[in-house]
Amino acid sequence: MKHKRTWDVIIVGGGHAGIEGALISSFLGVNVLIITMDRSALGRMSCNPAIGGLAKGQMVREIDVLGGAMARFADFAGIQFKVLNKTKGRAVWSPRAQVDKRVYENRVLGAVSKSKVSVLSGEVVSIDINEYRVSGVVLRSGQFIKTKTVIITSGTFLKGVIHIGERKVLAGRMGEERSEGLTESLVSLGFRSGRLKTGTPPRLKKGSINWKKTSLAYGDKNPVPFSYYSNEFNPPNEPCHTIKTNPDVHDIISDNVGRSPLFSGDIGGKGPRYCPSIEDKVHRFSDRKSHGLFLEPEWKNSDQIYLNGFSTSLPEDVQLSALRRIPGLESVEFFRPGYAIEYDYFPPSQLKASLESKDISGLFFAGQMNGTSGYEEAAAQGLLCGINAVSVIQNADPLVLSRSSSYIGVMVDDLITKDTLEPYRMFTSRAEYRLMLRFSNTSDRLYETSLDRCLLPKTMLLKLKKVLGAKEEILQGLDFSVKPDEILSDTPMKQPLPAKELVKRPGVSLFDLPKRFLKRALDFPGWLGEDLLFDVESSVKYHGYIKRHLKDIEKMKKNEMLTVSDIVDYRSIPGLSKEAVEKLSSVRPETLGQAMRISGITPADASVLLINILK
Amino acid sequence: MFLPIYIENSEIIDDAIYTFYKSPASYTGEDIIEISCHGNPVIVGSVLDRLCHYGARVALPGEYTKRAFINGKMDLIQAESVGLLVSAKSKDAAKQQSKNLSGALSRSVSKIRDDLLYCLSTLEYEFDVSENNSTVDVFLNNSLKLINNNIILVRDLLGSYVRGKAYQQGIRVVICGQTNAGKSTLMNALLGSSRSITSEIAGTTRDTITSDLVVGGVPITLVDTAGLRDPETPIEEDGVARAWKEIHRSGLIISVYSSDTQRIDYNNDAACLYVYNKVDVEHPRSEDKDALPVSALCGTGIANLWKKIENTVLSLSYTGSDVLVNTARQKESLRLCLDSMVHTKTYLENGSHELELAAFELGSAISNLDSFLGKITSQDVLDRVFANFCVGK
Repeated sequence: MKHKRTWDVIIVGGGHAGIEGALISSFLGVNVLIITMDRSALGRMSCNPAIGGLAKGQMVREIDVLGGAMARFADFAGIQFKVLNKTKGRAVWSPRAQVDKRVYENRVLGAVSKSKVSVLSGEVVSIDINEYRVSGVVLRSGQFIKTKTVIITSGTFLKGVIHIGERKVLAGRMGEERSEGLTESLVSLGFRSGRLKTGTPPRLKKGSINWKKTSLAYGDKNPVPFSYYSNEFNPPNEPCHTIKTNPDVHDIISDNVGRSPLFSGDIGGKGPRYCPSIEDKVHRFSDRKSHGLFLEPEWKNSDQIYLNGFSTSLPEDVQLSALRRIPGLESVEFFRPGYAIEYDYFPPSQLKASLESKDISGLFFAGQMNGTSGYEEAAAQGLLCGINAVSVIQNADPLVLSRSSSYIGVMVDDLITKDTLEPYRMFTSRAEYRLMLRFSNTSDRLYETSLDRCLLPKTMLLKLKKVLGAKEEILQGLDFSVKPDEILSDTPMKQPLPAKELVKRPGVSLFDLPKRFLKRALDFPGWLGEDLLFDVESSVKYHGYIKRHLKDIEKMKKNEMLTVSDIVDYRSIPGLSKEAVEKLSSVRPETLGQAMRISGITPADASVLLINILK
Repeated sequence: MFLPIYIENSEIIDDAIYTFYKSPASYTGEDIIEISCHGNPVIVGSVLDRLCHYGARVALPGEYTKRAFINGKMDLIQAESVGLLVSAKSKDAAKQQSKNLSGALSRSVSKIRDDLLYCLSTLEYEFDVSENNSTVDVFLNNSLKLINNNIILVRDLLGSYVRGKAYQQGIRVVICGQTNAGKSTLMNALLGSSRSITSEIAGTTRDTITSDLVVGGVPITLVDTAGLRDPETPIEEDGVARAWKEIHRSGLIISVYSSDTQRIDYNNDAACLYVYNKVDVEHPRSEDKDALPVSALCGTGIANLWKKIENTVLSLSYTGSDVLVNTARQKESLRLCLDSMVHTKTYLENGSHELELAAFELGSAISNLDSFLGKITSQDVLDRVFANFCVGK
């Protein structure tokens, strides 16, 4: 392959971030090259065989509306779909799919080869800069490739070190080479780097498990897909199996905890608190006698079983002897043991809200190198980087998603303003406007953006427009009255009342209304019709709260418009605390809103800053 | 350091003590030099002039405290307390403010906030981590108990606002009644001095006459008013109008009457003590037994009346909580917090299907307490989730 030409976008890495970045920028009409160390690993799911989940499911559908591919891939490869939190209030409903990893990876490969994206095997070891602009990348082979923009999605590969007990392996993933040199190249350009760690549980041999001793868990009977592309939706419903740890297991782990590099201090990087290793759980919650574990098939009829909940860096023999105390796993065998991996990341406060470097034009970071964890978080960043790399090339304004528009907006804002103390994972509680960020109103929130930026094919934009139109019509229809004998609910009613008033009452559902109110939903596939009716109901029920949200958003808007990026020296501002000067100088926020959200910045600092801007 | 102060022409104007406070160990957290000179206004004036000549300026009202707040030396409650301490009217009020300054009020509110934060983090655990429903019911039970307890605490604190106001601004004790009931004589008897002009002519007092004093640790303002009758002159008319104004803003009414004047019921929100005056002239009848027999002229029953006044004033300013909510800002934050807590309670009682709204209300209750405490939080909830629960499958 000759590379005399100049590429528009070069993507370093072919994981979930890289794939989204490549596909969207190619869709937007620029030429794209993915450079990966192993082209057979494109779109690989290196950890759990699932897409979505709490707060992540919402993000997957946002990716879908913003032109990303993950939702479609997951709908295609899913073997079990379940909406989590179904009993706890509609704003926190989150869809999750168990997926067949092989089908998923094949689907990714298919999508890449059908697209105009080029793929090159190689290892990028440095980024070439000219006048604060990206000009090219250099491969380990010495080859220089010219490009206008670069998106780095290095995952866990930068100086990756795998820990299994006292054993250390230099690798990016088990069995895959790590990458060296790129960190140094970025540090020489002025970037700060740090170490983080994450872990993965053992993979078990299916035949070595006594399945009769496990419990079964199925998905939803009426599954909901992630993607608005999906029409009639009839995925398989393969069960997961669950087992539980017991005090014997915990004893073995406690006795050997000194051999875990996490505890012996061998791992310097900080790990995620929300995805603790089993030794962490046993140690910190010593009063708990049992922890639940999930046996998840990695693909359909897979011989390889992912043991969800047992992430560990204990020595292999300890992992085995502990697990063999669990009923059902008495003679369990590994395909490979659980391990922890340490890798380089770059504190993302060095990036703008577009995920472009604050100092070097055309250079973008996405995924785990920004200190996040999870396929969905990575994919969302990759997508945003792809869209904004094209903005740079076309000299257009970058796409910046607000905290009130999407979980992706919340994530990016958190990343660029908050200290990264552990790998970042999305939670619904991170979103202050949670009631507005529903899975079911994703199209309402992001359609305009998608339309403006032409992120979806025309047919999809039309479909979404039709969905929005139908919702609006159904909502307006609720101003009409319902007679007391027409309603299916036992709510007290003496005279005809507007349907909207009835739906506002606790316990009354939109589905209790006569058919004439709902018939517009019949124009859509079954799941989508139901989805949009539920969302109309939500918007009626949440009305008062959403008004309060909107008031807050309006209040914050001013701060988001006030630019502070032109402040050169924060030390020259009288009244700022020393800590604030330090933080602000290191983060260099773009707006007052961002400045206020930086960890450690107090309201007093913010008012001092405001007074100085207005002066 | 002991050094002379010079003014223009290198002339020594005074010898003064210079105290240097090094940042951050000063009141404002900045470097401070304190100059103690002699108190002669001419000297002080010259020193200030000289300092301003070199670029200093006189501090704005409250600027030192504001700087202390900005530099993180005190929280908002403490800063407010400094302001109130400076203007406090009685020793007890001053004591109350130094109590708040040391953080007693902040601590009480922080404790409530901790409880609410615990509820919210449990709830967020349900949303963001727990994938089964078995823990929800336990959560509902525990949280309802916590919320109910704290609703009582917040109501209590809100009640203390009245007491706080009494301490801060004092209670107006208004002596009123028909003309010639002997109100001014009573005022003088209570004060033990001739504060009000008295005579046998009805309508002698035209203006309201006030006197500030401290009773049982509570600052009060004793007010003598014009007698209530159909006014005969424009001046008296004005005096009567003023009297009514005083009656309306009073915290305690002392309704004075005698055998030759009628007793008036004011149907007011304020507490009321009836005083039957002029016992030296005519003994009270049986229908007067709820009134205190007094002779303002001879001093009979005055000590007894003082005791009654003190008890009433104390009961007016008593609430169950031992810290006081002082400012309207604090009260408003607490009131909004209480509203949100009551809503939270309703959602929790409705079961699990509206938990996201309970979370919304809990969040807004906490943010109201945060604005009470003058701080904002972001990471708090998640940190609590991680600290308290086994997170992760």
